[in-house]
Amino acid sequence: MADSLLKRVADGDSGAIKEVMDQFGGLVWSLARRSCYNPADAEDATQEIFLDIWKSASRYDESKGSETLFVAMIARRRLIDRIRRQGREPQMDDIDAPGFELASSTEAEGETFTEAALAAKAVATLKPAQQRVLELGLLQGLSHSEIAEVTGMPLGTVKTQMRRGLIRVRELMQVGELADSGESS
Amino acid sequence: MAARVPDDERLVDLLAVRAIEGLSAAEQEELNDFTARYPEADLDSLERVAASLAISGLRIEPIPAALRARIEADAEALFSGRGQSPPAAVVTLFPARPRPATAWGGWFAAAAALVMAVVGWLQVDRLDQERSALAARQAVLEGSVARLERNLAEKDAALAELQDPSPAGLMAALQARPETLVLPWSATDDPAAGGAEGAVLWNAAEQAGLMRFRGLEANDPTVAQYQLWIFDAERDDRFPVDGGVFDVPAGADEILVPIRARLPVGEAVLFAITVEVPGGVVVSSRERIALVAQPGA
Repeated sequence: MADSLLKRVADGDSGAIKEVMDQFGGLVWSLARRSCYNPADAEDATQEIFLDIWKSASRYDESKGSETLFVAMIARRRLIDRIRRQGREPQMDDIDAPGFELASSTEAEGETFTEAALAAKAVATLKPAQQRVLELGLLQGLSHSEIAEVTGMPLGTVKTQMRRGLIRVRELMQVGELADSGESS
Repeated sequence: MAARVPDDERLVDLLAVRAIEGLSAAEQEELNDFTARYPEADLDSLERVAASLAISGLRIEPIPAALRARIEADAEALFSGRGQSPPAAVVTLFPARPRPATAWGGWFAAAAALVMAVVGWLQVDRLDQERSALAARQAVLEGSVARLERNLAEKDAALAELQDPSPAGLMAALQARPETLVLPWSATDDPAAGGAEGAVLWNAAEQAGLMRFRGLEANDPTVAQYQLWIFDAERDDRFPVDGGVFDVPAGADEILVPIRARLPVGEAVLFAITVEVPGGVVVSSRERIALVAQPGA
């Protein structure tokens, strides 16, 4: 079985760089673009993210998810860090996010992100309050206190619902109950 | 496969907060303690769930070619730095056990000198290679610094121009830019609007703008305040961008109010002024909409 791209990066295979850029350049750029004020900030963020990807490649574990997911996770971390450094409220994953129920069937450049589709399906099985706080937190990017204000829930309840919702989605994705519904990568 | 997250409520709390909005320094330290306590646990799983949801529905844009080239150059420099520092070979020059000096001693000395010379030559060669790699990295870094300095200078110039403390100066700067949107306000039936008129100026490239009003009812800031909302074609219209809270003083003729958008605005499709409680709101009930401005209206 061929080594994964990130494994090749971790092994110092400089030939893998272009392949990584082909595969994930657009993904990282699009995540950065939608959380940065202007293209120059997004460019700096994208450079920072890729530097982290090169350095973190050895930590990729294919048993935990796809390379796409690993790259997206690193990108989100760096973007959240940047937002916190700039003193802004974290505002991630908001623009053009149509809601989980629609997102579950969305394709990007012809490729369906399998984990993304599974996660969206999992969210759809949650209690409405949990769906609501996850949508506000992850797609609209509101902080816990803002979610409390919007929904009228006590702050503690927001945190509880958010935590339970994320954990439940994780459980559903781990057991694979949702994997047989026609999604493909 | 890594162990699952331990059933510790505080740990799970920290992981959920990290996945949603990041951790403070104190929280990160707390998480580091947990990481040390559970080195085998899979502590990234909630971040992966959040990342899965984050990329669902993401519209992928191609990365700009120049940016890609810079990233590839950075990576090449990083990789060449790695590649030029192989672990040093272990060379045993002498047996571990000392031997008595004999006639062979001279041969040993000569051989040792030869080995030392070869090792020395190898080290010089390695140093040369490392020096070349460092020079390459330095060139890439200097290029990045130069670019950042250019960006900074451009940003400073734009900020100096657009963050003029004088609203009139801001208006002049915006009007001088051909790409600035200028949209007239339309008054609604709300009593605050009356015969209000004016326009909103918005420059998407600079993410800067200003509102001009005449005839908008003066407000008592202890009772109510005006708030601007910017509807973005790239966002859910249930959550327009907060453009800032402002007041209209009594007796004012024309007032100019800089826009303070809290978030990036992609494509502004509607500007609306609502009347809200003092301090404004996170999400408006839209019960009192005073003015609207729309491209193409």
